[in-house]
Amino acid sequence: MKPILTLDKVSVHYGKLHAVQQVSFVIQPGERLCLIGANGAGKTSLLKAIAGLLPASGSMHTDSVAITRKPPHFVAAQGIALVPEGRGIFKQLSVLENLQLGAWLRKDTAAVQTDIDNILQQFPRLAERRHQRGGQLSGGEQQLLAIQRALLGKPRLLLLDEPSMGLAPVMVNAVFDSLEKACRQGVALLLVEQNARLALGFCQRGLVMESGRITLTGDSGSLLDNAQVQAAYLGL
Amino acid sequence: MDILLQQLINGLVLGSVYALIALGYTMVYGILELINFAHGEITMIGAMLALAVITHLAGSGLPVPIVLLAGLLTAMAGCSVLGYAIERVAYRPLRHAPRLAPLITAIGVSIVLQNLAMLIWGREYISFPPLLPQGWFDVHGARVTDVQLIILVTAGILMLVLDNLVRRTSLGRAMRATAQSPQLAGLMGIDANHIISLTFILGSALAAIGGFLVSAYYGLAHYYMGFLLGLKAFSAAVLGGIGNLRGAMLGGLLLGVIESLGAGYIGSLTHGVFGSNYQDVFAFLVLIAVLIIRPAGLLGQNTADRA
Repeated sequence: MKPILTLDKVSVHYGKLHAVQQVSFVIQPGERLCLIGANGAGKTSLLKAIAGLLPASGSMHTDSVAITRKPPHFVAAQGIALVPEGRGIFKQLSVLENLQLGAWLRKDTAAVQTDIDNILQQFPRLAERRHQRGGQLSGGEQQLLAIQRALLGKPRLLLLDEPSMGLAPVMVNAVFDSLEKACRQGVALLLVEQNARLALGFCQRGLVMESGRITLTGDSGSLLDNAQVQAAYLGL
Repeated sequence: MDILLQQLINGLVLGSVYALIALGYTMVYGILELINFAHGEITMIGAMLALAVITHLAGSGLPVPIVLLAGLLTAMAGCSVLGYAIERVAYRPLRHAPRLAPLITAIGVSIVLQNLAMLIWGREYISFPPLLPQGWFDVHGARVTDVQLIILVTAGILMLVLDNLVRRTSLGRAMRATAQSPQLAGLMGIDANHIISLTFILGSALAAIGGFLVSAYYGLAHYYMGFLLGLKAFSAAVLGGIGNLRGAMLGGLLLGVIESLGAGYIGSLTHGVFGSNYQDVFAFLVLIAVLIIRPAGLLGQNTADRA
C-alpha cells in the first residue's frame, strides 16, 4: 500500500528562525499518527506547511501528486483537511453555513445534505444553533463543528492541531469520540496534541518533535514506556 | 409642484446609482481591505464604452432597446475584463506588500485610466444620443421621468439579485468566507484568487451599469466624470459601513437623497447666499458628521468583531 502522505526533509523557516528542520515521515492510509512535543517545537508550523499555509522546502507528496509549495485549496482537493489550532471556524457565518462550506469541493449535493442532516442529528447542540453565528458557540462546540466540517469534505487524511486545548474534560471526550468514529471509517489522522497521554492512547504511532526536529519515533506503546518521553511529556 | 417629493425622487434615483457603484468599493474592501480608487474610473469607462457603441449604432436602424442593450452589455463586458486585469496586473503582485503600496497603485491606475480615456474619447463632453424615452408621469405633484423610473427599477433589481447571490448561494457563502479569512477558506478548498477575481468582475460590471445609467440620466459623459462619481460612491460605502453590502446600498440612497434635498433647499435656507451648485458639499458634510458619531458607518461593525 502506498503511503497517503510522504514528507522528505521538510523544513519551514520564518526569516532566520528554523521552525521545522529536515523532517521526514510517512502516513499510511487509515493510520493514526500523533505528533507530540513542547510549545514551540514546530508542530503547528509543520501542519500548516503540509496544508499549504506556510511555504516549505523539501518534498511532500500524496500517493499521487506533489503538494510542496501548493496553495491550501490544492492540498484540500487532494483529500487533506486541516482543523487549525483554536477555533478554526467562520465566526460570522452560521453553524449551517460553516458545515456547507466544508463540503465546498463535493459535487454530490444530495449526499451532502444527508451528511449534514446526520451531523445535526448526532450533535443536537449544533442543530439547535444551526442558524446562529459560529462565534456564539462555546469553545468545545466550535471544535466539534470544525472537525465535523472538515469531515464533510470526505478527507483521506485529517490534520488536527490541539483539538483538546482549552476544553472541559467532557468536551474532550466528545471530540475524541467523534474522531474515533471518523477513523473507523478509514480516515487517516495526524494529531498534534499537548496532552501526550491522550494522543498516544488514541494513535497507533507517535513522533516526538523537539526544536523543529523529530527526535523519536515509535509505536505508541513503546513511546509510553520510554523513560525520556515519560519524563518530558507524561510527567512521570 | 411638490418640491419635497420631487427632490426625494430625484435623490433616490441618483442615490440608487451611487449605491450600484458603492457596491464595488465595498465588495473589494470586504475581501482585500483595499480601497480600489480606480473604481470610479471603471464607472467612467463603462459610460464611455456604452456611449461609443450606442452612438455608433444610433443611425443603424436597429430598434432602440437593442441599441441601448448592446451598449450596456459591451460596457459590462469591457469593464469586467478591465476590473479583472487591474487586479491581476496591479493589485495581486502587491497582495502581501504593506497596505500603502496597493493604495498608491490604485490611485496610479485611476490616473492611467483617466488619461487613457482622454486620449481615446477626447476632452469634450460626449452627449447621449437622443434615443431615450422622453415621457414622464405625475406622482402627487412630482414629476417622474421614464428614464428615472428605468434607473430606479434597474438598480433595485440588481441590488436584490446581488444581495440574494451573496446571502443565499454557495458562491456567496464562499465570498463571505473568503472575506472573513482567506486562509481558512483555502482550507475548505476555496481558491481565494478565484473569488477575488470574481469580486472584481462583479463590482466592475455593476460599475459599468452605474456609468451607463448616470450618462443616460444626465445625457452626458466625460473622461473626468469618474472622479467625483467615484468619490461619492466611496463616501456612500463608508457612510453605510465599508465592507457591508446592505450598508453600501443604504449609504448610496441616503447620500443621493441628502444631496438632492440640500440642493433643493440650500437657496431658500441661506437666502440665496449659497446656491444649488453647493450640492456636492452636502454629501461630504454628512459623511464627516456620521464618521464622527459612528466611525464604523451606519451598518458597519467595529473592526474588533470583524476579525
